[in-house]
Amino acid sequence: MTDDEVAQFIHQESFLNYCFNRNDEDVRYWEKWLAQNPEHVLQVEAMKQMLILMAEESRERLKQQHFSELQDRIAQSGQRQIIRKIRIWPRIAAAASILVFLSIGGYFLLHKKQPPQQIAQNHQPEIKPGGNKAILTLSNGQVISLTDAKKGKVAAQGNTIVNKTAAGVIEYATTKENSDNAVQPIYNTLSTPRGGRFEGKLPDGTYVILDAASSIKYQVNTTGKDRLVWITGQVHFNVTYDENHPFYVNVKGQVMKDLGTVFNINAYDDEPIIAVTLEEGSVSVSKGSQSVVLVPGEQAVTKAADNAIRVQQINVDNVIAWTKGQTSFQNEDIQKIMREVSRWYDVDVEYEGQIPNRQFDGSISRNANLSDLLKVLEFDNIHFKVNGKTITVKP
Amino acid sequence: MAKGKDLKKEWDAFIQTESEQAFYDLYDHYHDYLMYIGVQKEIPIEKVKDCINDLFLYVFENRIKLQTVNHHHNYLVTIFLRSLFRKERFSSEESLLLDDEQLPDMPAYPSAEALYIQQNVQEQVAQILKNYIDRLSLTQAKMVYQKFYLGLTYEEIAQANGVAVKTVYNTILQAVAKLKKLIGTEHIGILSATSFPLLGALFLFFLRIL
Repeated sequence: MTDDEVAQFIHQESFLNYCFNRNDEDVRYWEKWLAQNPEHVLQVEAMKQMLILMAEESRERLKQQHFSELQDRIAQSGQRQIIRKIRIWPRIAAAASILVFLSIGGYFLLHKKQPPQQIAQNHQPEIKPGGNKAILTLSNGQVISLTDAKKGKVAAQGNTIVNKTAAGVIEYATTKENSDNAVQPIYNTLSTPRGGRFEGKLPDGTYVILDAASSIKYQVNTTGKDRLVWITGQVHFNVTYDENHPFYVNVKGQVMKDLGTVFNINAYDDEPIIAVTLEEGSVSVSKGSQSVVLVPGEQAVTKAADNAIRVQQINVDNVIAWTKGQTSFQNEDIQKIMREVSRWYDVDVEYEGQIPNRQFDGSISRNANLSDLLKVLEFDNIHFKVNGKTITVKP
Repeated sequence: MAKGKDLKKEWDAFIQTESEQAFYDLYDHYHDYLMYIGVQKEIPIEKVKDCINDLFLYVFENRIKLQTVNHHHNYLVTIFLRSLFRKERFSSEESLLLDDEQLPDMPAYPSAEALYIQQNVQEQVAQILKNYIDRLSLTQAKMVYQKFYLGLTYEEIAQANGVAVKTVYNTILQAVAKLKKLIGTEHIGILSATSFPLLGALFLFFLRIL
């Protein structure tokens, strides 16, 4: 495709919506198109950047001109002396010095005649994002690291074998029918450290995704009617519905009964609330004598201190963004963002001075290094000092 | 993107202390927002600009009187709309009614990503781009602004400015294609290589809303 042909894309509103991130559907459409036409990724990315730069430059030119006209009119009105010409784009002016520095580095992306020069980073080593890490605790107390386990069998218990698939997910296989109801229940616990996440298929077929610093305890064999699991941290469920074996999730004294469902529970100890968000199907949430049934798009919010259950409408995509490798926020304060950062990057967070009470919207890949994420937040005048694994947030 | 209602602090700073920076911050926001509203209402961009400047001149000169205004956003938008439709009855009384219509928000704009690109663009490209936009005809610059920055549709721009949709298409396509040639294939990466991998794959946007 020639550059002229790529330029023709701008006649399509959907392409512009993709470039300016204006419409999720169009963004998905073009991301899919690029995945199918990877040879055009660089051309399209360059076009997108160019359009954003054109948007910014044309805005600056017009607004400078219009503001300058306004200043002239104010001066003519004789009310007072002309107001000082305010330097437009103070932030960008400040950035100009950085720009010169950065552009010394790799000169042309596609011209590989010269290897790109390495820019001296500051002395801090990069803090990498979390990854696939978990341990499995068997009923006899044996602890198996799933992080290092090769694919194939990782454990055997009674009639059950635990396998790690090529995709890094654990699965259970039963060698023989569990027909004997007299057997003792066998429990396994899957847990992730800070900076880890893991996916697994429970013995009943229910698919779970564990976020960092989370765990789920479940029964491996079938001994009774109910399927019971206990969790900590944040877990996403896609429950295999079985009328005869209802599925219950226990967390901090509240019980969720699945009625054929995909849902997310966030119950970290350092979060002020427990949030149960329903993506599909139906789930009932009970605490004390209270009980509510959620419909998709609703979130049940509870606090440790009382039995009240509050139900609210919520942007589900935002809540489950973590399961799709994104960190996503809507109207969140910096403290909430930093709690998630602390879990995913396995760092400690401290605060210094008066942190402005602002709210943030946005999304960044969970594969980004910590420094990239902090850079993005720094655009908004929040500052960070990184010392080893401690991050200090400053106004 | 920041919303006008969130600029209460700036409004108060201007009204109470005549802060010039606050006055500019208000202009910085409302220039785009009111442009968007005006053009969407099929008013040519030149006239929209005049109404915006009338509004800000009035605000500048009547700071003391405007101390009674509590809801600056409704006030500014109401006065602007009246002026836009020639219902000129400027007053310091607060008007809470934006008639019966709910005005739309501007389409999303990836502010943080834009800032990131600006900060990391190769110096040569930045220079070419700035010279180029400065040399565009005013008509071209305005169309590029309305289309890319404000996110108006081709039809809305054509309608408001009394030209054919095809003219808007061609004007913008020419501006894009010519810049593409100027930047040239050598600079196709646009951003310096060290920062490139961050974009696209990783970086969506973070922006302050309050």
